[in-house]
Amino acid sequence: MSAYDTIVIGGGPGGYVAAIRAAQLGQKIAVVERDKAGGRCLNYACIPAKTVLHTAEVYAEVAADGAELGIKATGVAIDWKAVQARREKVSTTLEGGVTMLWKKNKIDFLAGEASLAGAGKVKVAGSGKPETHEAKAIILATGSVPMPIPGIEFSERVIDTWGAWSLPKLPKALVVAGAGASGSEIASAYARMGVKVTLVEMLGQLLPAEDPDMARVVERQFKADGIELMLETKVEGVKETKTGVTVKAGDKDVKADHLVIAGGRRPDTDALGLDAAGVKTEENGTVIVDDHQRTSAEGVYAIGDLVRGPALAHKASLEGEIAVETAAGAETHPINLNLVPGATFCHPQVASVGLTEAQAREAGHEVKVGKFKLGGAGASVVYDDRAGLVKIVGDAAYGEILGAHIVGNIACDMISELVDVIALEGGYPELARIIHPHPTMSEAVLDAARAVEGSAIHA
Amino acid sequence: MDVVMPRLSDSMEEGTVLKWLKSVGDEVAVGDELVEIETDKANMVYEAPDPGTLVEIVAEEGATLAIGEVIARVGDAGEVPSSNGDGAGAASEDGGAAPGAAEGGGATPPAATTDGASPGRVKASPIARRIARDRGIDLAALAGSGPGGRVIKSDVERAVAAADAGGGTGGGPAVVSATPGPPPAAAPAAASAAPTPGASEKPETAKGTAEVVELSKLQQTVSRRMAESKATAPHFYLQAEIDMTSCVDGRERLKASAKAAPGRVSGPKVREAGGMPEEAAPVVPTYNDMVVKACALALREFPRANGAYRDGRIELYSRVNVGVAVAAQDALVVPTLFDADLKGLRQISAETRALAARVRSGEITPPELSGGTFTVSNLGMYGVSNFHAVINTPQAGILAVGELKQKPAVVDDEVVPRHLMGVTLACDHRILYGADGAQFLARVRALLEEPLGLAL
Repeated sequence: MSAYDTIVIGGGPGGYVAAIRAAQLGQKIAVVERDKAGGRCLNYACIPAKTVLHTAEVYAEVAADGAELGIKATGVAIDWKAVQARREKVSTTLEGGVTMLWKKNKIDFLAGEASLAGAGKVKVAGSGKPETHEAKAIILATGSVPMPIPGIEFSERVIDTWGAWSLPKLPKALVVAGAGASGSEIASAYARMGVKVTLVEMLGQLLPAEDPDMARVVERQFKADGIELMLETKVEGVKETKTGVTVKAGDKDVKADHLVIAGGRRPDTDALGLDAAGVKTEENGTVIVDDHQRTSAEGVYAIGDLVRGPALAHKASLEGEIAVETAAGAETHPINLNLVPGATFCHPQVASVGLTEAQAREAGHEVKVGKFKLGGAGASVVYDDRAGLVKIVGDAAYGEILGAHIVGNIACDMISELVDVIALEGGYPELARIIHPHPTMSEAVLDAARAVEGSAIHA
Repeated sequence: MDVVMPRLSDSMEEGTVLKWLKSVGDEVAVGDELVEIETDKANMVYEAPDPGTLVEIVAEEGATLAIGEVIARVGDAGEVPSSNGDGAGAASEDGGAAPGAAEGGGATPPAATTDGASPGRVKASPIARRIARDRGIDLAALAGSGPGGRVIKSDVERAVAAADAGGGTGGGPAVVSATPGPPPAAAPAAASAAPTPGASEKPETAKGTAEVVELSKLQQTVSRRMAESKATAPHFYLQAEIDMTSCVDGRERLKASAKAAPGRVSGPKVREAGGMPEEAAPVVPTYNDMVVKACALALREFPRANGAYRDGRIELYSRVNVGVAVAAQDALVVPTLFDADLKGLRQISAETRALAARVRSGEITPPELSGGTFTVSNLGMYGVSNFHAVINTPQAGILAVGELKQKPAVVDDEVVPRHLMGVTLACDHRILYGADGAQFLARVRALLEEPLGLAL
């Protein structure tokens, strides 16, 4: 039994950052993790996904575009074993990085399953005898787990997103249920590696959370990559065979090696013992917190996928910092959920922040939109990357940027600039006068800002 | 070299160019009288801050501009444009209008010209700046809630809401500053110079013809400040009737002695204090002077009454500066008697008269109108027996003085005629509470009922 200032339960992108931030504030910290440092993001979700996507990207570029770029590529093929080995190596490398950071910050790593054991107490059940530790503050950062579709169970053939990224064999065909960020990434990666992909979405739009203008660009590329997109379609059932599955999607039967469920996620709180600790949750299991991440139980904080807002690693990280700063009595600012950028790494990438055009109109703003096609930027011709669009949704009253949306190969990197401008309360008039290096894709952002006032130079 | 609209008083947000005292092409030396500017408090002559030739007059007479906006340019004689087509010169500052500057009175070029020019740059986001400019909010007066005290959108929006709630600036076109460098021909009607104060039009309404009178800068300020005070400062009132009989007796004796020795009473100090109208006449303090002195002495003893409620905190001042409300033409002006607790009655009297004269002649300057820590307002000369005054925020209180009149009073079980005067102390309850206010008022009363203390 040890006494800490703060115990962080969960070592994912929310928890590991929270722990380091708390250590910076001079606290004695422990992180409880039942699996690996870095949590799901690093070991089972974001990082493995981007690693495989990168292979698909390079492969498709060389295979399809090599001649154009002056590369004679013959016998280009996917070595799936090597892809998986690299995927694992990347995660292991980053996991080691997190462990090293914890050591450097003198953070104790308690391996095991944690539960709340009375005020200021955390029980850790590891390989040995369960131990109870004391802490002035407890940060819940246990993340989320995938939810199956009602009536369909996970199995060897019906897999979740992690299952999709860690397949032992490159499949011939996949059915992906859910065309949100995760589903679109899986569909895109496999389709570009030559797998026959059927993408099924209940709602009427690919990437339903994104601005329709962005989704349209992605949809065009998906079709070019041979993805069969079934919108407004439900996965009604699945029949497993020895070699694969037959998925009933709407009134069609689709045969594939696997059905990937890329639907919703739910907070992973089963082991924590929230009720007994007096931590209140919504009906769907979301832990209720205030704007400083405080739960209804004194000294207990919750962050990331456990609480309101999008289930995104970068959002969890900031909430982790806010939680420990609040607990330590340090200066902090609540998270602005409107400024959490969305990032989808399919090809082409989609990134966004703030309101869509429709949301802005609904909110009654004096909406002014600037759009600029990536093809207008010189760099896009250089990189042979002309599909794509930057869209800025502004409020004409004071030149405020209400939302920004980018679709393009490096959209997720490009969006940062717009998050910054919005967060610092610059407007599109300022952005339109900020110098962007040439030749880069970011020049498209500059022209999109100009376009709000109808003065894009390269349009 | 740009000459910008200067900040000539604490509360000034914008100024109106009344009259150019130099013409384009004139040589100006530092300190030369350059332009007459109307501020929220007074008309001021602004002296040239840089030497050179007046190359260009950007702000026409009558134009109202925010602090920091360019009003003229001083440079080499060679820069003076030829008389042909110089009207366009004013617009050149903005260059090829930035995308953001294309529309809306509040739109500015990205590098807001106001910041660089004014000393002590305010940290504020571009959006906050645009809203502030549009709605006539002084960024320097806001406490920023962003990192490092940066003023952000929500801070300005709160200020706008407060102003709206207080019936204050309201963001009407009257307070929106003109666009930078207004080319007269292109300026839309709303953005042109503020309406001429006092100018009136007479539209027909169901109430007959309505004479619409535009407010002068000073009147705008008075109306805004008064409304803000009533809306934000919780006023409560303490009334008292002060027996001034001893003061009356004392003043009669002073009058008599002044008559006996004409021209001898006013000391040299009095003259220094500022141009008395009748220099030779001896100064006999008025009853109001006595009230001012009594308040000053009591303020010294009750620090809270000599403080201010500001941004959730209380400021207590080391100097006792009593403002004396003076009715000016169509306006109310409160010149300040600095260190009134340290000054003799005679000096208070002389200074007050001098200040009042300068108010009426329009020569009063902003420094003479600021720095007050308490206010005395007297309407007794109009036969008002008692009234409630509006606190000149952020001061803690104001004493309203009514008529001094002989009335029957009971003294030692007998009804006798006494000189009584009704006063009402208005207190801002956020700083001056009931018992404190009452004790302060009791002290003022004691000093006036036994006025020997005033002479000390």
